Amino acid sequence: MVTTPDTKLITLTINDRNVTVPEGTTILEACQAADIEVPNLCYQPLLRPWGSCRICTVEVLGRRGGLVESCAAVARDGMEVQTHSEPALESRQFVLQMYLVDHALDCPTCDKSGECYLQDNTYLHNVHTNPYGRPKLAQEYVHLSDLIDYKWDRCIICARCTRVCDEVIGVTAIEVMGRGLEAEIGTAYGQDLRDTTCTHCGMCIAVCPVGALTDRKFGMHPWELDATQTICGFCDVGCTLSIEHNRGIVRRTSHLWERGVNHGYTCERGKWGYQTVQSVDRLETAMVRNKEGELVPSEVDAALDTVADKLKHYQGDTFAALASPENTNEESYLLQQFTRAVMGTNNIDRLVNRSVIDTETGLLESIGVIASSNSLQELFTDSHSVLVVGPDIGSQAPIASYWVNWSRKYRESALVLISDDHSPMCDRGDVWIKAPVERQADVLLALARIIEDRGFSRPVDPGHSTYGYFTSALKNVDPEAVAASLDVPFQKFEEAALLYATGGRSRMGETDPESEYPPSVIFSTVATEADADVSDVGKAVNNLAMLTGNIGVPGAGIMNYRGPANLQGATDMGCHPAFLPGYQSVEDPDAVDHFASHWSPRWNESQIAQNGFGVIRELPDVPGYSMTEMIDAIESGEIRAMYIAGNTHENSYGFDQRLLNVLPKLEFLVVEDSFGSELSELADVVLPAAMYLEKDGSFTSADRTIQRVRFAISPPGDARAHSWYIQEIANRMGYNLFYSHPSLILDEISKMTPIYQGVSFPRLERGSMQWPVRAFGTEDSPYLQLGDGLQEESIQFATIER
Amino acid sequence: MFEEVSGFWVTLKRLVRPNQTIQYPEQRRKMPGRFRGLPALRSDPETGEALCVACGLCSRICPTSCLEMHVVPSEEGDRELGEFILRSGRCLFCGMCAQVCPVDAITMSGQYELATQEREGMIFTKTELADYGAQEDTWWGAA
Repeated sequence: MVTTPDTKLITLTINDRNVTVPEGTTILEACQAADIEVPNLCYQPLLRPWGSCRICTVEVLGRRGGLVESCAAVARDGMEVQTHSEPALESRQFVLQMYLVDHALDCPTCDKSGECYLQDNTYLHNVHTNPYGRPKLAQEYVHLSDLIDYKWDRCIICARCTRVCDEVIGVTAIEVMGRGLEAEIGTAYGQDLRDTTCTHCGMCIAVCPVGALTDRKFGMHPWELDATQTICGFCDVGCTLSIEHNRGIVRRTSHLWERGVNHGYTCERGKWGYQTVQSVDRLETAMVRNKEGELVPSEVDAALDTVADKLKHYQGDTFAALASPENTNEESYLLQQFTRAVMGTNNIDRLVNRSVIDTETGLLESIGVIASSNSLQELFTDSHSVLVVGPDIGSQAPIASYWVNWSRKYRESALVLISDDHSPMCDRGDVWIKAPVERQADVLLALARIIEDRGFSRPVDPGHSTYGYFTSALKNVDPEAVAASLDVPFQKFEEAALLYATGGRSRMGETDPESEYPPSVIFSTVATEADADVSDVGKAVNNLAMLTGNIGVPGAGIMNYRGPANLQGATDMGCHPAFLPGYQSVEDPDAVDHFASHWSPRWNESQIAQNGFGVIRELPDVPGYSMTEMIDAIESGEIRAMYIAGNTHENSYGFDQRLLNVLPKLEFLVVEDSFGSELSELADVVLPAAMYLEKDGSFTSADRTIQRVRFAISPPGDARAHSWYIQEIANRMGYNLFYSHPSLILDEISKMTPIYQGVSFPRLERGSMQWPVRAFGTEDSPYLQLGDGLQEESIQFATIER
Repeated sequence: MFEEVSGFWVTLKRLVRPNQTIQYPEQRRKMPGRFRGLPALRSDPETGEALCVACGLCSRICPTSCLEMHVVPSEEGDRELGEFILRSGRCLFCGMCAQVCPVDAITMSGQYELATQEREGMIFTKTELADYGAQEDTWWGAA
C-alpha cells in the first residue's frame, strides 16, 4: 500500500487498541501493522484478496453477523475489531476441523512440515478431532513437470498458486480445475507443465501454505537447514534470495516476502540456479599448458607463479584484461587496479556481448550515464505507462516483467511492447508491435515522429541544437511506411505512441497535447540480444524518453536490463577503457593523480626493474581499447597477453564470439572461469573460479542498487574467489595487495569513488542503497535527477543514421 | 554325616538339575522381547518391503546424533530412504528412535553381539540394519 501525502488516514480499534492506517487498508493488514497476529492461509502480499480459506475471520463489533474475513474486508473509520473473541475462535476452529477431514496427515514426510501454516494453526487452535467417521479420501500424486509435484490430499484450494501464476508471473499456466470435492490444481487439458506457458519459476511451490505443491528434488525438513540471505548472480535485476543449505550443500532457495527488489518472488534462475553452482562439471583444479601444448592439472600456487612470471614481460599496452560482469564490485575494482597500477594500461573492459557495448555507447551519447535512470520499484508508485523494447523481458529480466505485469493489473498502467518474441505478456499488453530486432529502431523513430507531429514533445531543453537535428531527421521517417513494411496496422502505431506520450491517459480519450500527463517508463532489454547490431535501438529508446520529457522524474526514464548480474557494478568500478572507478575520466589529470597517489605507494620499493618490468608511478592517461577494439588489436599483434575472468555457465549471457577466433594469436592467456569452455581450452593457464554463492562482496544491479552478496557454501576443489587470485598475482609481482576481507576493499572504493561515498558493509547490512550516494549518512537516489546524477549539459539527442 | 551332606547340599541339588550353561557361540540365547539391542529396520512381514518413509524423525530425536539419514526423492514424488547410517559406538540404546517412528519402521532388535576389532565395525548401514530387523516385531508390542 502506497502512502502519499494526500492519503486519508483512518483510525480503528483492534482488540481495544487504536490503530491508524491509510484508507483502503484491509483489516488483516491493519492488524499486521499493529503487530497483532491473525492466522491466514490464502492471504499473500501483492495478490488480490481472495477470502477462500476463512480462517482469518475476525469479529467486528456492532455489526450483524459480526464475523468477517479480515483479508478481504476493508477497514473503516471507527470500526471495533476483536481478533480473538469467542465467536471468531470458534469459527476458525470449525473451519480447521473441516480442512483436516480429508487432509492427509503425513506431516513426518511432508516437505512443508515445520513451516506449514495449516500445521501451525491446527496446533494453535487445538484441533484434534475428526467429526466424520469415514476414511480420508485420497488421490495419486501428479507430476506436473520434472520439477513440480501436486499432492491433492494435502491441497486446501486456497488458489494462492494459481493467483500468483496469473497476477505476478503473468502466465496462468495452472488453474483450479473442477468444483467442490473434485477441485484440484492442474493445467489445461492435463498437459505436462513443460508444454504450457509455465516459466518454471517455482513460485507456486513457494506460496503454497501447505505441502500440496512440492519441489521434487527437495528431501529435507526446513528445520535442518541454515539460511543465508544473498543476491542472485544470474541477471542484473538483483533479487534477494534466501539460500538454505546444510552439510555444505545448498538444498533449496526460499523466499523472504516483502524484502528486496523482488519482494521475495524469484524466477527460474533464482529458484533453481544453485544447481548450476553445485554442478559436477565445475572447474576444480588449476591447469597450466605444458611444453607439449597440453593443459595439465597443476597446484594453484605453481599456476600463479607461472602467471606472475609471464605477465612481467607484458607491462604496458601489450596487456589487456577482461573483467567478468558477474564478479563482485570489490573483485572488479581489484582487477582494474591491477591492470592500471601494476600492468600500466587502460586496456580493460568487461567480457560482454556486442549489444551491451552498443547500448552503453548510446547511453553515453544521450544521457551521459551508463546506467538505468530510474528504479524498478517506481512501477508500484509512479509509472503510468510502460513501453517494453527488446527480447522477451519475461526471460531476460523476469522480475522486472513480474512488476510490469503487476503494474498493468493493479495500477492499470498502459503496456506497449515492441518485441520479436511472442511471450504471454504480448497478449496481455495494450499494444504489441511485432518487429525483428533490426527494425525496432524504425518502429521507435516512427513513434517519435507521431509524438512530434501530434505536439506531445517536451524536451528538457527545446533550444538544444541536437533537438533540432533530431526533429529534422524525424521528417524523413514515414510511420505509415514502417507500419506497412512490418505488416502491422498503422492504428497500432498511433495507439502505442499516444499511450506512451500521455502516460496511458489516451485510453480515457485524453489526447490534448497541452495538458500535463503522468510519467511513462521504458524497459529496454535490447542489450541482452545475443549477436545483433542494437546501437540504433539503444539510441532511439533514449531519444524517445527525452523527446517526451520522461527523464529526471520518478516513474519515468529508461530502465536498461543488460544481462549479467554485476555488469553495472563492473562498469561503475572502472572496468571500462575510458573510465576510472565512478566514471572519472582517465583523461582527467586530477582524477588520475588522485588514484596514482593512492595506488603507487603499494609498490614494493625493493623491486628491481627487469625485463622491462618495474615500478609504475604514473597511471596511463589515454583511454585503452574497449572489448570490440581489443579484438582488432589482438589480430594486429598489438595486445600479446590477456587476463580474462570468464563467466561461463548454463545461464550465462555469453560474450562476443569474435573474440574466440583471435585469442589463439595471443602469446599468453590466463582464463579464470567456473566451467570449462572453448575459452578455457585456449588458455595457457586456467584458474578455477568461485561463483556467487561462494564469496562475499557486493553487487550493483541494473537500477544502481548496491546490495550485499554473502558467502553460503565453499567453492569446489581448489576454486577461489577472483579477489584472492588478483591479490596473489599482484603480490608475486611486487605490488602489495592484502585485503583480508572484501569489506576493506569497499571502504577504499567509497573513499575513491564519489558516487559510492558512504557505502560500506555495515551500511549495506541494514539494506540496499542506490547510487549516487553522496556522502556518509545521506539518502540514496532511487532515480537520477537533473543536476544530481544527470548533468543537464550532457543530455542530448543521439544521432541515428537509418 | 548329616553335616557333610548339608555342606554339599547346593552341589547335590545342582547335580540333578538340568544344565544352565549355554554353549556360546554354538548356542545363542534368545533375548526377551523387550530387550533393547541394536536399533534395526523392520520390513512388512507379508510383502517384505521396507517400512521406512524417510521422515527423519529418528535422526532428529536421537540424543547422541548417532543416526544419519539421507533422503532422496522417489519416483512417485515421495521421499525415499537413501542411506541410513547408525554409528553404534555412540548409541545409548535408549529406544527413542523406535518410539518416535510414525510407521514403526525402526525397532530395538535382539542383536547384542557388537564387539568388533576396528572402529568401522561400529558403523552399520541400511542393508545390515534391514537384515537384523527383517523378522523383528516392534519391541514394545512383544510380551
